[in-house]
Amino acid sequence: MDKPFYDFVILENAYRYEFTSIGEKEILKVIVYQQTDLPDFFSLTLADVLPDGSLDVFVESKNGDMEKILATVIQTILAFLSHNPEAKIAFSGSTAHRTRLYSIILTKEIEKVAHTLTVLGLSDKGLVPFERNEKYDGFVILKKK
Amino acid sequence: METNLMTSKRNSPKKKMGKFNTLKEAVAHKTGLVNQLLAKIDKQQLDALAK
Repeated sequence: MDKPFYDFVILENAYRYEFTSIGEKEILKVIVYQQTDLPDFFSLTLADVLPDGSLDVFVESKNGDMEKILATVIQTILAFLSHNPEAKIAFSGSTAHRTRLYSIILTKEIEKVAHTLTVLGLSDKGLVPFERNEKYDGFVILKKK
Repeated sequence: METNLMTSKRNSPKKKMGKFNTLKEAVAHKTGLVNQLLAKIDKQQLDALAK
């Protein structure tokens, strides 16, 4: 929450966000929140826009700014929830490795956001309170009531 | 700065895993994966969340 993050552009009624990752390369990143099959649940997609205009949700861009990118994602979550207070944001990594990485980041950040956000883990047990060192398939973040 | 990400670009010679021609396809893919995860949530948990 207190980490530096990239300036981002809010588009499409705050359902889409864009920013540029600046490291060894400049990479345009796009984040989209999309309604899922469950009411009030939205998926989070983070993709790189490649030079040919295609999108990659899998790539590890290795631009040396992963923490700044994730801090930016958290800022877009806050912006999206301020526009959609009832929304619940669900996401997972594109790979098991990346989901584990998200879990490590959330472990670090959870105390800083605990006063405003509830973070839940998604596993075979369904939705459970997020706990350190537990393995999850995905995560759900919502605004505290 | 708004880019036209919805424009289809089909000049890629081979399909790479996780790579999509349009933002719409990328979002549909990720949302599909999330829908599979959300299917694990039972009604009781959803009701508890709504309170």
